[in-house]
Amino acid sequence: MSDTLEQQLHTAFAKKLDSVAPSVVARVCATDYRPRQHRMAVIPALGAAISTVAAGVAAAVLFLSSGTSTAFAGWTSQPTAPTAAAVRQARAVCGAVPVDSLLATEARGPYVAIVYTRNASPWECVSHGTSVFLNRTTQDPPSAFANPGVGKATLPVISARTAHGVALKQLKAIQKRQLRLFGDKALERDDPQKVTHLGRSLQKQSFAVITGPDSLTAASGAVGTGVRGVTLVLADGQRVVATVKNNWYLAWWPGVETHNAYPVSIRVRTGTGTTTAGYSRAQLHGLFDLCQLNERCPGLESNRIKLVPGIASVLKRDFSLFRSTPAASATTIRYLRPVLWTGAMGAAIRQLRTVSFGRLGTVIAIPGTGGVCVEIAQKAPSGQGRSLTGGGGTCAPHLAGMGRGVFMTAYSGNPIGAKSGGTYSITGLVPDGNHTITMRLASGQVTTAPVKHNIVFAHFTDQPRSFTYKSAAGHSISVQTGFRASLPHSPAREKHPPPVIK
Amino acid sequence: MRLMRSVEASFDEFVRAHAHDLVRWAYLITWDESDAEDLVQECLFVVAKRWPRVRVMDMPLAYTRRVLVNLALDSRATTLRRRREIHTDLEQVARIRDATAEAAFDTAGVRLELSAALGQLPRQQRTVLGLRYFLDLSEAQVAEILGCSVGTVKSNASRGQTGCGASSNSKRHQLR
Repeated sequence: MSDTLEQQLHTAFAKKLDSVAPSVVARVCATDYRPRQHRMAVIPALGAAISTVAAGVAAAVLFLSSGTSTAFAGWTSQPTAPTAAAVRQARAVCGAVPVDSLLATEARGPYVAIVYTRNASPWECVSHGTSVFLNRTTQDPPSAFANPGVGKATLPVISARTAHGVALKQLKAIQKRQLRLFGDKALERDDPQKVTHLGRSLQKQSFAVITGPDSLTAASGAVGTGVRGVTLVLADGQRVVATVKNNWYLAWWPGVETHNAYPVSIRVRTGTGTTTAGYSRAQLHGLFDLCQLNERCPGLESNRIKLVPGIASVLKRDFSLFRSTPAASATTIRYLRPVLWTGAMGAAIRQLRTVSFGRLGTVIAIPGTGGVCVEIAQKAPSGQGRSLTGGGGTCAPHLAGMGRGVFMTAYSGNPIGAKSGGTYSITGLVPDGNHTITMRLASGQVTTAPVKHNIVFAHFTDQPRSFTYKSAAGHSISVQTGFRASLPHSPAREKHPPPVIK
Repeated sequence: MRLMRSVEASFDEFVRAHAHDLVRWAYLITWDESDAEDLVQECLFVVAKRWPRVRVMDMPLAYTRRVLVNLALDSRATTLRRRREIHTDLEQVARIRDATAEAAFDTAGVRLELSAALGQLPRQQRTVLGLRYFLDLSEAQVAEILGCSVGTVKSNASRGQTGCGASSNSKRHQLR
């Protein structure tokens, strides 16, 4: 290699590495890497359980065996105002940048919780020092939490089970506002659904569950201007006083439903009096796994979730696939149960539709109360004891996905260093009116992928870098795929290696 | 108890002192800031578990770098399937909608600089080039870090150089 190229390489590396954002290093430093000694024994059990049974059941085994929650020592049911230094640290570890405005802050013992807005969406974060226990957004803009008026309150309730390390990827994914429901070890549930409660005061609930040894439940939402106090009563009799500030309320407590730490009623205090209302089991279903408490829950199994009428009609309007008859065979349901956590997106398994692509496999589209998922199923090799095997899947919340579809790109191939590459694929649900989608490959070639019953499922030997299709409204949408230079470079280039510089 | 606190404190100190260095190493391998952050955090989780043993080593940083490189390359070797979800938040979608297909496709025609060519390389080749020509390590040192033979380092370096040089060259041809 010439000295010039060597020098150029050095310069290129230096330039690239100098571009590392200081915030990356700050976040690396802020992460708590210390293993939780008292929990170590159950973490492997969780991993094993998740790999073999549905995640919800795994979580129940874990938490039931751990008895009452022992985490969050020093937590108090009555909040206090955090110090400015504590808020600064919370902002830093939660990733709230200076331009993000704070809606509410509170301290419960050594733990600090903040609600901040980022990109017009409310984010909620519970932290202690450099440890973040919960950091998520409902992805709903504040307008979705319209001020319900004097004396009213909205209540998005979040149940989170987090663990340092175990849930890290999920938390990071959430921080990046990506929806990733099929993580390696942890699971997150996000199931927004409207709930009428306290008359018109409770307009929306947003659910999220992340598996892990540490568990907490958080509740927050917009309150009317006349609301002076909000108190939640939990199933174990505990009363949790919420922080009310800037037309927002915020509360959280250790434990989840298996500790009887789920809310059974809410009390809203205004200048004219106090209103108390209890939660019905139906309202709590989907948020709390009450069916795991060895109780009979007729009508509440996830495969019986009914689609919210408005969502169902929009899906049927934009996707002819959903105007067809559901085709939930026993085999497909059996396959989906372990791989698709049915609580995620409120997936209504019985409403699934399948589109066969022959030997490539079958694509399953599953509508839900919160979003739409697509999952690839392939015929399993003989001797595996099951007829279908996984190919991955993804979901999009209705907020972003309706009318625009759901897409997943994947790479399946050889390990690094292999001379020949594998296969790149794109799977997606596209609205009516798309007979093909246009793909631009890494080589610059433009090609099309056929759409069959709203489903595109195509394989390429070169990286699809972007694709274009039409939204339900007829707008052209161009999407850049997740394929980047970090994946093995295309076999097409290897077939025709460029000349060597001498 | 005091000993435990001292062990933890030394790990925290280690992280503070070397986080920047480790992130740069990870960035060099992954060529992606987000992946680099993930990689360093995974690495530090591993090292944290072994810290009582690692802290008494002669060169804890060297050990940590080795863990980092192994994690990066091992994960690539064992992960046959890689899934990437597409951002689904509204802001993203809106931004994407604003870009016409032409505008998006035009990005493919942007001149590839050397850094872009490096980004196109397989991870192992780029790592070798980075260790050799950015950190100025010898082939033997690189081989030790990567846990491979000097011959493998040489072949990866050669392929990497070829890929970089040729990629830039071919792009120059295209742009004429």
